[in-house]
Amino acid sequence: MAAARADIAIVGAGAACAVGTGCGALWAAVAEGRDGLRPVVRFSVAEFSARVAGLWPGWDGRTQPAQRPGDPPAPLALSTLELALIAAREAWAGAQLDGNVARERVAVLLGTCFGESFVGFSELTEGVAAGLGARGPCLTLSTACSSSTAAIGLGRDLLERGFADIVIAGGADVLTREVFAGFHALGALSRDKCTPLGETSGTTLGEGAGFVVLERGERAAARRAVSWGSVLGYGLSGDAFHDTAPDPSGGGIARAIRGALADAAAVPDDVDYVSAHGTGTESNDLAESLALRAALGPRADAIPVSALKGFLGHAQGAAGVLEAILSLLCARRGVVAPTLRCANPRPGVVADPVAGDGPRPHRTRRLLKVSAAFGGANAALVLGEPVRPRPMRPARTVEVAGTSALGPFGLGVDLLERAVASGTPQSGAVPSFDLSHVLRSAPPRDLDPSGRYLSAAAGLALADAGLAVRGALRERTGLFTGNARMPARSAFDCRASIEQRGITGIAAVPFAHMTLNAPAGTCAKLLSLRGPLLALSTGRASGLAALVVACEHLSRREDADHLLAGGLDELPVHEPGTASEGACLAVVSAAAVPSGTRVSVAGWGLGGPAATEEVLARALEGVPEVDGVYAALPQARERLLGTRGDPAHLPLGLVDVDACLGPAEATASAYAFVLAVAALRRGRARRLLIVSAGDSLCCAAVLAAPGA
Amino acid sequence: MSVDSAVLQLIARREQVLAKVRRMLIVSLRLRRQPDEIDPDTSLFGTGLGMDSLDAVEVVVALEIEFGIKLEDTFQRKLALRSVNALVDLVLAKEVAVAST
Repeated sequence: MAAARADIAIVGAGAACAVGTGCGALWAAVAEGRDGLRPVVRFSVAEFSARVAGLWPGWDGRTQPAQRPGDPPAPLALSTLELALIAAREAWAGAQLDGNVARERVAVLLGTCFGESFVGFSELTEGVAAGLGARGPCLTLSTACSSSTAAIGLGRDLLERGFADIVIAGGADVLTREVFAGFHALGALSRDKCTPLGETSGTTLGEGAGFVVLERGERAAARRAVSWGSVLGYGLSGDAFHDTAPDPSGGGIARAIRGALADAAAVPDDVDYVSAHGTGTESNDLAESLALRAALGPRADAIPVSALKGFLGHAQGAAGVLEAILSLLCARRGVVAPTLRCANPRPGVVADPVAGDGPRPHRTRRLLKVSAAFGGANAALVLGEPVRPRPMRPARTVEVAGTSALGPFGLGVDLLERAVASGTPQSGAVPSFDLSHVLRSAPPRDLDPSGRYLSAAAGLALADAGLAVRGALRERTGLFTGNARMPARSAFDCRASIEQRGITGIAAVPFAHMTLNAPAGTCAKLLSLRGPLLALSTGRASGLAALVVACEHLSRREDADHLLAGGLDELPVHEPGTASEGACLAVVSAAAVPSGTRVSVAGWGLGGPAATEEVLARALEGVPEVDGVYAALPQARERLLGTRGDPAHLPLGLVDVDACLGPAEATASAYAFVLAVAALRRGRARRLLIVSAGDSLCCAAVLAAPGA
Repeated sequence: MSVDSAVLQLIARREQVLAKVRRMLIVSLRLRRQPDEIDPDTSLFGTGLGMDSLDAVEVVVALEIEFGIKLEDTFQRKLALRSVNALVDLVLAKEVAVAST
């Protein structure tokens, strides 16, 4: 009999959002039927047709000294890190872990739309880790409004696969005037408090932070920790439909739900309650109801489905985790939370939206949490009591079916190889090219550079793999990108539109394209990639981290066969500097592909930023000697000294990609991977190690030539 | 003024507006086309200029800035954003409305 997969328990939770600080405040709001939506005073909303939002009351009245004497004191900006740490510390304290875990084995996964003031993404997660004293791997997920839902799912994987002993997973976002203006320009805001699943269309924005602490059930039971329930399964998908609106058929959301159910070894009848994304916009609420019916069948109209944004507002990247925590709090008390202001449900939505203003008694053994996001990135979670043992499937073999690279050296892996061989560091911009020469599906309009580079790289990698993404293959093919910064041109254009036209003139197109996951959304739409869609960041090492996470995802799951994964960088506008930009992807596959010489991924590992030795040991587990190392690693030689990847003892030594190409923050580590694939394909080596590290994590992969 | 010259004047005015509308579309939709490559009968959405609802927001803002035209309700928007010619009609109709008040 196949062994069962480890149970992953939620052993702590923390929250700070519109209804107050702490899980106690979340529960009190539901018990009292009190929402946290109020007229905005932190910044001026006089110019907008919407005036309310769910701002964290803990920041009320915080001001900075007036800039000129006599002026009233100006409101002080709330730092995302500060808000995140409040929730993370509560979760950590609740788990009662102190002294019970090695700090190197504590991972932090944080989902965020806009990071710290649109700038710091991986830095925000590293700040949370530092605040808690965690020294394991940090992963920043940015799939817009489904970010924290994805973080909990990937956190489950890290524990299940033994990359960490404790995982802090969640999300954080604060509401700024620019974000408010952006959603206003998209016509997505409700004039008054939103009524999810109800008749009026539009959402109400919010802010907040929420974290859960995850631990293997066995370990938690051994130390008699109180479990809130288990993370039974998760699913990710892409709509490949529109930059901001959901696929009206709900097909994308349904795929994420089916993926989560299969991962949980659950059937629709095992689910007792759905915590909906329920933003309140007509397009979301109708698509979501169709998705629930498609994935759950008649069960969708037989169980309560409530949307909690009427209490919390739309807390952006933190929405998923906050709603999951609130749903678990209610489940523990034998109730479900109502959908506020839903006395007149919108025609077409599910049968029981739990209209009312107080909790309703209901036994929830297992709940489904659904999230959807800009760029068509959907995520779903199944939480609660284990249904039946989830069988441990044999790991699927993961191969590299195709690769691509573009950068200052031009378009093509051969040009990348030549640039590295020449030994002259190349930095700067990608030379101009016509996307329609690379992609037949290129739109007649210019994409922003990030979207263009990623789409070109994806088209080239698929062509190299001989993979035509058509028919059913569209749903089996996904995209995991690693990037460190917001798309520079779109962020610049967005700011410029505010400067030129005022805050209400914020340009909708660049606003929607400036999120970290927007390039992935654009690329997935162009190439009809409807499988799992993810954008993650670890600062440096982002590209290789995306590849490692993609290999992990494919090897243990059945809901995708091919993932495009790698890195992406875009230079800041009008600030040339010494950095370089580009995109570099590999098609990793767990199913047959037509391409001839297939390189297999023999192992991979990830761990804390300083855990080079442990990460290499994990990646090289069961692997015979490697012939050489491709590294995107500061002080590569020093860090590899004395490890199994020590270049001094390897016949082919070290290829230091940073030294050869100049700094490409997120992409360099993906270049290293693709260069190693090229060397193996040419028969220059049998096995190669690829390693990269930054301030978030260290990660490595081992590639083997065909037949090696 | 003869009928012919009135017609010619109308045609000339229409050409002027068409040129302005084409320029506006190239900028706000980031079209990789020359103005004369945009046929007046081209539809804005779908296979025509590939516009989606997000781009429509940009065009609506551009119409207001360029021509002072506000499209308030969804029906008006749908009607006006059918094709390049529909936009030209809208601008001309607005000129007539202003002239006759």
